[in-house]
Amino acid sequence: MKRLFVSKRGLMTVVVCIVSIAALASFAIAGPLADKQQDEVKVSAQAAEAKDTSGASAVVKPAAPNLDKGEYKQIAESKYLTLKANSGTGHFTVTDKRTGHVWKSFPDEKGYIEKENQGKWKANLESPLLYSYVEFNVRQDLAKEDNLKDGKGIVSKFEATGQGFKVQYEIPDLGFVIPAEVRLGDDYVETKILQDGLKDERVFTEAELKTKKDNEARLVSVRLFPFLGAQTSEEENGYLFLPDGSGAIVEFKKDRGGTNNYYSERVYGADWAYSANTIFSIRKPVRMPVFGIKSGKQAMIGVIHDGSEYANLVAAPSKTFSQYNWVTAEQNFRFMYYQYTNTKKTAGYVSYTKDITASDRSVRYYLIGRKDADYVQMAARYRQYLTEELGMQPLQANGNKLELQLHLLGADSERGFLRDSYLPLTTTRQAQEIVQELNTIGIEGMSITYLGWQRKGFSQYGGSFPLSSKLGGNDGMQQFVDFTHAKGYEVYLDASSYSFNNTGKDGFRRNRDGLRDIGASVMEYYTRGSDKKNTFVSPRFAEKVILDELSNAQALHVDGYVFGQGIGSLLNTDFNENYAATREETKQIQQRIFETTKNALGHVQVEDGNVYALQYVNHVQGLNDDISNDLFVDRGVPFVQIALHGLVTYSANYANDSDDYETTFLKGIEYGAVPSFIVTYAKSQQLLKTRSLGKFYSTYYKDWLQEMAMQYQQYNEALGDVRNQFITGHRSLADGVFETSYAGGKRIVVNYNAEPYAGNGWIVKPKDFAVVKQGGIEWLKNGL
Amino acid sequence: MKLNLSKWMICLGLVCLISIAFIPAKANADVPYRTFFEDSNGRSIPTRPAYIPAGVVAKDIYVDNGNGEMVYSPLKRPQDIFIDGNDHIYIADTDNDRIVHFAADGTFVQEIKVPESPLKSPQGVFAAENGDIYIADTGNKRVVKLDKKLQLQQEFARPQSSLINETFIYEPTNMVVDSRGFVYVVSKGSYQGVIQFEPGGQFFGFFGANATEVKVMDVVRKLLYTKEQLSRQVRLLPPIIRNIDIDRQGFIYTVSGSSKEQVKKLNIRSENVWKELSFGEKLAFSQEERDKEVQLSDLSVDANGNITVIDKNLNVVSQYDASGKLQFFWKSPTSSMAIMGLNQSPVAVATNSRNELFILDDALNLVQQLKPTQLGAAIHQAFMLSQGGKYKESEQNWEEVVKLNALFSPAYYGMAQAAFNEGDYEKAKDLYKLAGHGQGYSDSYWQLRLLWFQKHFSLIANSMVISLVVFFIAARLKRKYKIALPSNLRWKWLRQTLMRQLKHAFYILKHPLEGFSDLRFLNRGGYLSAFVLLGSTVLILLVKTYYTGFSFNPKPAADINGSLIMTGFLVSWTSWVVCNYLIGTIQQGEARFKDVFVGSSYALFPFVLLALPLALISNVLTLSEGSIYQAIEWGILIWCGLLFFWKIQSLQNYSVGETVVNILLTLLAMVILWVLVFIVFGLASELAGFIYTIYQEVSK
Repeated sequence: MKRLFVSKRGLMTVVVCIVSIAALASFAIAGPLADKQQDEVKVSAQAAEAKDTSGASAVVKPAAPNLDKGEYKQIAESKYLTLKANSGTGHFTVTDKRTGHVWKSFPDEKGYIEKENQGKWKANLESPLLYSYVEFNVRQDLAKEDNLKDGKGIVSKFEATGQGFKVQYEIPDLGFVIPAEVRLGDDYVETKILQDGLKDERVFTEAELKTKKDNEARLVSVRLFPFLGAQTSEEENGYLFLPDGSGAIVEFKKDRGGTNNYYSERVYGADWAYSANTIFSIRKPVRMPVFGIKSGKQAMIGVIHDGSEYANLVAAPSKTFSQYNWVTAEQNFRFMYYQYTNTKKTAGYVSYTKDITASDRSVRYYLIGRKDADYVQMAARYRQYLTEELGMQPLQANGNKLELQLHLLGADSERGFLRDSYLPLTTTRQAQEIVQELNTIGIEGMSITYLGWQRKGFSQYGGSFPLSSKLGGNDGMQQFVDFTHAKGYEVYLDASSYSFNNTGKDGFRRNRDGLRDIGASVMEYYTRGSDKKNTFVSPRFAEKVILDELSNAQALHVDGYVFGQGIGSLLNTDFNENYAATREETKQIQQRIFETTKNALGHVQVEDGNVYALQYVNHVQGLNDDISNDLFVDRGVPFVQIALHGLVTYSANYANDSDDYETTFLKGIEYGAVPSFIVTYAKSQQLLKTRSLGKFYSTYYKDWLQEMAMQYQQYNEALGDVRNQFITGHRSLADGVFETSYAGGKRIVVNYNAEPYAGNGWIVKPKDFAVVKQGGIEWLKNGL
Repeated sequence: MKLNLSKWMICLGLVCLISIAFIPAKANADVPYRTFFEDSNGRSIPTRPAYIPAGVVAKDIYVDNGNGEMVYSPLKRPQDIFIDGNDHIYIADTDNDRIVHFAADGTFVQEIKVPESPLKSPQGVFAAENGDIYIADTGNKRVVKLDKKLQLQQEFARPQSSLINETFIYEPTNMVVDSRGFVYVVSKGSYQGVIQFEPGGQFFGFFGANATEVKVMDVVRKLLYTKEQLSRQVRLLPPIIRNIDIDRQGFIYTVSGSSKEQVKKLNIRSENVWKELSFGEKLAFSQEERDKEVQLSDLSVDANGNITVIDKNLNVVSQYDASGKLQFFWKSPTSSMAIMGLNQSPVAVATNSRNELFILDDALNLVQQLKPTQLGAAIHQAFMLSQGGKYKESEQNWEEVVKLNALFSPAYYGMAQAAFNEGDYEKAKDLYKLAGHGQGYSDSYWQLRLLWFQKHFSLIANSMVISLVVFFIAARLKRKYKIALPSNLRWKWLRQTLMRQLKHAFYILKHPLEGFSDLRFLNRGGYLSAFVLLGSTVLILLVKTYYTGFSFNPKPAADINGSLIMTGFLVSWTSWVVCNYLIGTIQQGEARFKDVFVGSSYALFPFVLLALPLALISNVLTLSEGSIYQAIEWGILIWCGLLFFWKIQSLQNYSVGETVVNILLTLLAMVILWVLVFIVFGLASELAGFIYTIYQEVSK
């Protein structure tokens, strides 16, 4: 401690010296230079003025909406698209040669009513660029929002490249220079904010400082072409697609109640390192950085390609701010955080990070090459993106049996009179018994995930190996795994516990190896019913521990790990100096963990994971089958499921732990999922004794044997033979009746209503589903 | 693993991010709020939801603007919702000066504005069985009665009576009408109670007035203040009745802002049936919410008599069964987001015939519709049957509840009642234990014990005779051959002294005054024996807590913190010893520290001797013999207390009066000691924090 102190003081002395020397030196040199600099500024100012007056084309002064008055010149052409651009504003239009649909980087003029778009939003709608900035010398806790027009911004450069054009926006008052590139791909147009050349600092000369104050304006966020594809609701013929939960649809509606109809969510969820003193969003996190717009017969899907971890997804339906429905990516360069000023963390202030987080930020807009496309085609295009850009592979066809996702709760610590003890809930021997029993009642495919297998149980993080002898020990686990392999099943171990540590095992020292937030505090949380703190582990430390222990898992013969939480689901910057990692680096660390685990064990799965983890996994657990149900959202659709079906298998929440058993089951059938249960050998009441498992309501396996068998059979009959096929269609046949169709032609109709639904020669019973093959009825089953 | 970070499991706040109102949604939750129930120890335990969001009502209202155009006309700060016998929904759309009428499926039917005498800020609405509609026309200070065709039939204006003086404010905010046609009107700020009108419109009287709540400070004021000062005080008034509802039997329910009897169930004579019950659950997710108070705003009674109560202040919905027993409650997280199923500012609640809940929100300007889940429906049904004494029928429902949520302890209570009723006491006993219900356990055990005695009477009688005979023979033999203790232990001296010293404890029991002075002067006690006694006291304290029978200690052992009991005892005992010694030295006492220490240990001996047998006996006692248990327990404590008294008297050589003074001073000294300790620790931690802050500032 003392040494640190001394060195800090030493450092400060050095800094002070350097600063004073520099100041002296600058006085000496600045004299003769000052005049010259002033001259230069004058020249550039004149240049700017000249541009200002030289014609409408150079100034951002398009009428709303930006009608094509001949300023749009063809710039580039690709396989399917042609690009026209306005060199004065940087706005562009893209024409899809396959369909003839035209997409504009500005709001569509159709249905525009002047009086409904007034004030700031009128200028916003006209601008190719919205940005926000903080003035550190004025209010460091406030990001001001502005647009290029009101901010007196100019287009200072415009040059065509072969595939598109480069444009440079400048806001001279603030000293911001934002270079961007628009590029055509085969069927997409990519807009990119370039890191190279990005400036957000105005250098004031001495002379200027006499008359003006340097507000220290710095860039916070940019929305490039925020109204690309934006439409009014006058015709009510389209919708916005948001990646909320399984996928949410916001219809274009003229009238909409409520006041707070606004969507803004961080891609991959909040960064906890910046989250002190903030209220977390109660929406489901954005797991895939995609969004879409359908208007009339045309549809497109936007994918945040580069820098998605720093983006927010922002959307608003009409009447919230303006007449337009829009959805866009907001690229963040600085982040708000709360700086505590006392140790008790009761006082503090809000500020923005001083340093810029710059990287290339691009969004690709894929235009759907089909007339009358909808979210199914959007999802299909995204599926193509997942295979082409992220390297996901279609599922190999091996058999047509689904695998029941069976989760076993191993053990947890039991609350005791004097001290806690270990409470086994499903030992490896008992697990064998459960599996045997399930096997005899006809469950042919099974993928087993062991939870709470760690040495000290479910809620004890760190020191996973060797397994407790009370659970069966390493040998018991190995025997169990061999037994299940002999039956043709797979066994995975839940390894999301590596995200935390509360035992100090694995050589973990809280102060050295804990994940730290921007205020350098170690991040910790309490679990309900326990006074023990759980510490987040630095991602780099977690990686090290996992790599060290992979051989132990290998020795147990398990098929793989299931990651979640801090590995694949939560994405946090790490301010621990020993393991510092940016959000982008954390993402890469997590990807490395997935990759090495897959290489070592053969497989890896993820629970409620972000899209960057999906390329490594063979199954996604806990995939959202619901949406956050914002009141301005009109319905949920299985976008994520359509994109993933045929690439990986997925399951939703444990059926016996879901809030609504029946709906969860029907949704699973509709969304093409795999059944999933969580059970224990011990009676459910035992869970109340444990430290953390009181959250599972009913896990005694005998209570659920019948349901497991029934669900497995039902799922198999519905989805077994299409498990490798892509979903090609999804629609609502009536209120509460949905049809999902697969590439092979199989159609599944699910009826959520209390009344039967009659189709063309076939009937779906209430709360049931039916499989329809071309030409009519295939079979009907009683769902539950 | 997934739920690890879910909001319910996290005690709201990371340590480093301590002030985060930590509410990340539970992964995959179908329902955006977590429902809780209360177990027998009053702990809130999360459960599968009893209600799930089923949509919103009053989202799309289009009305004719007079020119034949349909214009969008959303609700504006609505204040009341009422659902009639046909499940039609009426909303008092206050700031739009109208009542809005919806069909059972939520489609808009009409708006009611009473053109011949326009409404002004109506805050309440009620539809009678016969189709008459009553509106609390708050802005016009009247209640209006419309017939089926919406024609104005009657006005209930300000009542005229000698009971009502000029200061009385008549601004009706809500009302109910009973089967006789009597109208019960709640008026804004009326502390006199509900205004009751005869069907003809004459004032009948006040109904269900609350009693004035007198706080301790008020009593103190009354004692100390002069008349003049008192007259300047704000007059103590009874809590105001906020809202009102009526059930099928004609019971009238009122909601008040009081601290007790928040909800009253009033019979026709204005008597409260629910005197001892408390309503409104406190559930807070952040520090700010922890400081907020429960403030109920409305309630609704469903067809089965279940009561749903909403709290606008804390945003909590709680549900009680027909006897006023808490079933479950939930809370919407604080968020500016408008999400289906979550309230922002719930003002009124209503239930339809399918037990669906409709919660009116005056910030969202919408109605959130919630429908009971399988679990919710099963719990309702089971509670209703149990309530009606149909235990056998309820059993099946309880079993369904347990299958859906094995942790729902009230279900075990219900099943235990059923088992008890059928005479399966063994099963009832186990179930009562699961439910954490001491009384029930005790009753079942009583039955079991009775049966056992009946069955084994002859055996018991015989064995008692035999043991008596054996005892006598043994006593004879013992006198004949003196049986010595085995003496093959080492440290003979130690053993002898220690044994003698410990034996002395028995002597003290018989002759306390002499015994204590022998401790010092005959060296009949030392630190070692004192520690032995102290250690056994601690041990026995723990064992007693752990092994006391379930009837007397229904709290599960895991919930009792053994180390806390241990430290609590040791700390208070030590501070007693220290303070007693110090006070003794000032008060010309003769005892040395050793004497006080040793004496205080020996004074605990009755506890050491008797607590364990008591704990063991408690396992075969039932609550009907509770007085015996209590008497013995108190006896032990009083005996110990007396020994402490004699210890001081004897060792310090005090008179009785001096001893009393000494004890009082010792207690005072203990208080001072603890205040000092807390001050020192508080200041020290502040100082440490201060230094740490400076260090952080400097090192940044």
